[in-house]
Amino acid sequence: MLVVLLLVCLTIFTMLRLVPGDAAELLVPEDATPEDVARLREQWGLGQPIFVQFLHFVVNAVRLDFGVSYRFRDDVTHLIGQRIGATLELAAVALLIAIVVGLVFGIWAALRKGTLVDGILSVLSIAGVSAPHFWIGIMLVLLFSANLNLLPSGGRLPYGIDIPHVTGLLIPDALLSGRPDLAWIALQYVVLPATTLAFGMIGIIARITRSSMIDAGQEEFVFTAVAKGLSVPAVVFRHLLPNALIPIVTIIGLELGGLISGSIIVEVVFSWPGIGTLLFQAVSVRDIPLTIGIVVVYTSLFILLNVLVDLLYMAIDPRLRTKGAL
Amino acid sequence: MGPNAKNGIKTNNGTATEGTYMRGIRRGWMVSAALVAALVQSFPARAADKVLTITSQSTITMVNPYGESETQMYFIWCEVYGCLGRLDYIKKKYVGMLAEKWEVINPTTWRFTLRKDLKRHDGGPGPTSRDIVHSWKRIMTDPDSAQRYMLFEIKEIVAVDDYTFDIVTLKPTGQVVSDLFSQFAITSADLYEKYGKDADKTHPFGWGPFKLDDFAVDNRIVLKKSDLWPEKRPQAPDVVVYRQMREPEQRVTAVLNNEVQVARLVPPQLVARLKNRPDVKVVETGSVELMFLAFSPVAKPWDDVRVRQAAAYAINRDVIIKRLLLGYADKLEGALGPNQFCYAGPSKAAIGYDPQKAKALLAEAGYKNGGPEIEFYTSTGRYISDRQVSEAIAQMLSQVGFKVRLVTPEWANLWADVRNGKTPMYYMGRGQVADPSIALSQYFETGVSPRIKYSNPQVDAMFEKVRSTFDPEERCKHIREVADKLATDVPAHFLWTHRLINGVRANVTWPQDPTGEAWLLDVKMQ
Repeated sequence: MLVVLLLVCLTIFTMLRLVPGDAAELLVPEDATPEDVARLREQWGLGQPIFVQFLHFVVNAVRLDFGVSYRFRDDVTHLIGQRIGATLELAAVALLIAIVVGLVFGIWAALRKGTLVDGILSVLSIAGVSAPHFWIGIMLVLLFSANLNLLPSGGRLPYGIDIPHVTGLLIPDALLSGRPDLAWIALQYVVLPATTLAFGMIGIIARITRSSMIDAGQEEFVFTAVAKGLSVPAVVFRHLLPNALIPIVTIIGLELGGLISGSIIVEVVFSWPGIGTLLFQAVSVRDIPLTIGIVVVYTSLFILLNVLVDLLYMAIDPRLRTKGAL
Repeated sequence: MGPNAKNGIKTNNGTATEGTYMRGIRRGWMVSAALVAALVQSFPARAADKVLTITSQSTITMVNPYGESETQMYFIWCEVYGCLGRLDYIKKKYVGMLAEKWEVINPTTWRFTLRKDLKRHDGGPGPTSRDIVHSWKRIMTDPDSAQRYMLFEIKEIVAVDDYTFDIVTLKPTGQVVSDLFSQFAITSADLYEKYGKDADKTHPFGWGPFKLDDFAVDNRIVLKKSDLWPEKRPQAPDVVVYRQMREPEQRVTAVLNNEVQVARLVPPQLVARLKNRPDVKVVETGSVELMFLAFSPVAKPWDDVRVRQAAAYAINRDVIIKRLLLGYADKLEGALGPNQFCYAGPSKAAIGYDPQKAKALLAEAGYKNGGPEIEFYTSTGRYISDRQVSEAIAQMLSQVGFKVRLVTPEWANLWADVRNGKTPMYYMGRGQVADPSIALSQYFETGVSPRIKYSNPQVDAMFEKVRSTFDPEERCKHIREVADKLATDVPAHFLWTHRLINGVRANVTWPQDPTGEAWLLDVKMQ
């Protein structure tokens, strides 16, 4: 994991230093002089050789000190710490929506294979995968916020609502504080961005669920279950779905990267105060410390989630728990 | 019992079992629908009365009042800490805020007198000369300061007594007031000595009509009306929230939903959504951001004034304003627009649309059989319809004979190249130009910046006269002379100023000025 992180840091660092424009040029005001630019460059060490800058960065990063953001003039770790809860909450709700809706659609399509319902769900799945996040987000805002006036257009909480900080995730924090009413409010604000983020994943999960369910449905144990007189729900949820889960979990694991990276655009569209909007800002002005800090966080999350997926395999398939079973 | 592989699943008793299952599925959908209905309700009403939420496109970066040089933040810090004075666009004059009067003592000394009726938000004493000196020094020495340029004409600030101080300039400077008012926020020396830079976060107490209540980086700023400000305005909002919203679609939706009460900078193509709504109105003003085409006279073919003039004659601005900007722009006739100081009507030297004249000039310049090859740089997404406007301009230039290659780099790259003088021709805007002398000097005075690299000793002398003239009328006369000379020489062709369009709730009176901001005490909410 450390090697991966180091390589990621080096790649991002090099890319940011090689693209035209630097933070000093971009962040000085309109009326600043060339001397002001030079002073900032010196202050931020941008005049030093790249490998010296990178070495300095790595030495500090090992202590989880990513430096000070050029844009916000605040400690990068502090900035990320303030906002990571928002991104995690968005991703978690999106994942939940994607899994629930994707599974339901997939199971339904499998049960209605070859019918109009199957066709419609297939089209919806492809549409979800094909449409870009920013377009889906704007369409959802237009529909649910502008036209139907049912949900807010963006942000995380309205002014005047404060939820005591426990975990940094507003919905659990509200519930832990005994305020389910505030949890409802927080949920209203997260639903549209989370649905936007989940759209593509819903399509993919639905399609893989459908295929896996159909494949598993051809197995003899299904016939046995049916012959025993079990109801269709029992067959589906007790026998079919557990056996179809491995490929579904695999695809969820593979799509997690997309979920995390997709959150950047979704956060910008919905003014969601997570680390995605910070990253958008950081890259626009070549804010190297902040960019690398956030990318390291994203990379670590991605690695961690894939480890969890691997552990989940073992929970789903007892055969994998036995050493050398494979 | 053989398999009945209906729907991909082997069933035993097909219809009956499936019917049970489908009833279960339908129950599931009904439960889900009920949950969604419970979730989806009108989002909650505002927590308090007279909360005014305004959208902000600018990034909210740092709580240090000297850390940004950006119009919105200047306004906010003036409202919180107080500035010496501000430009009142409605009265069209500078009015005092912390200062009650000012006068020129000698050509390099301005004397200011502070009000004595103010209290700091935490109950502390009003502003004194010591706070002025401290604020000046902090701007000049704070590593995070982005406002040094504002004070570059100042040699020193000297306290005469507790409420009187002198600003001593390096040279005779007639524009001290326009340099400082609405920008130079005054912070407390006492609080800084006690808490250091943390004072900005933990003790952000000033003397302005609003207090800083919350500052969330890259998210929002919350101000609350101060009871200590002498002028009471009961109709003004009690709480003002600047909420960062970059997406224009979201801003428009938010004002229609009453999530925000003022949606600023609505692009022309979304204005139709605001019209015909009884609960929302469109408020528009002119602006002070000059949109222009720059032609660097040190790069070929722009080193020939006839080529520069030809390019200017080729542009049909009326068509662009009507078709691409949907009428939401005011054509400029010269470097001064109606919303700027010293405007006295269109410049007689300004170049209009005349494609035949453009062709004739190119022929005269030696391009009779085909125009010069040029690279035309533009941003995309930085200004309203910038790419589309530039495409239209490129086509107009081609029609008179130029061979145009349109280049659309990312803004960061373009801006870096413009600042370093690497871009021979580009489309750009220059904001904060209420007093045009500083902006024009930046682009057109020799040695100030390499953005255009125009150099004309006659124009340099004019700028010197502008700076050293104290009589406002005389000063304006010199500024107009500069504008006329620039219109003839055409190192830049001034195109238009965009109109600032806002969606405002019907119960709010939003007296926006051409900077895009409004003095919050002048805002009325019912």
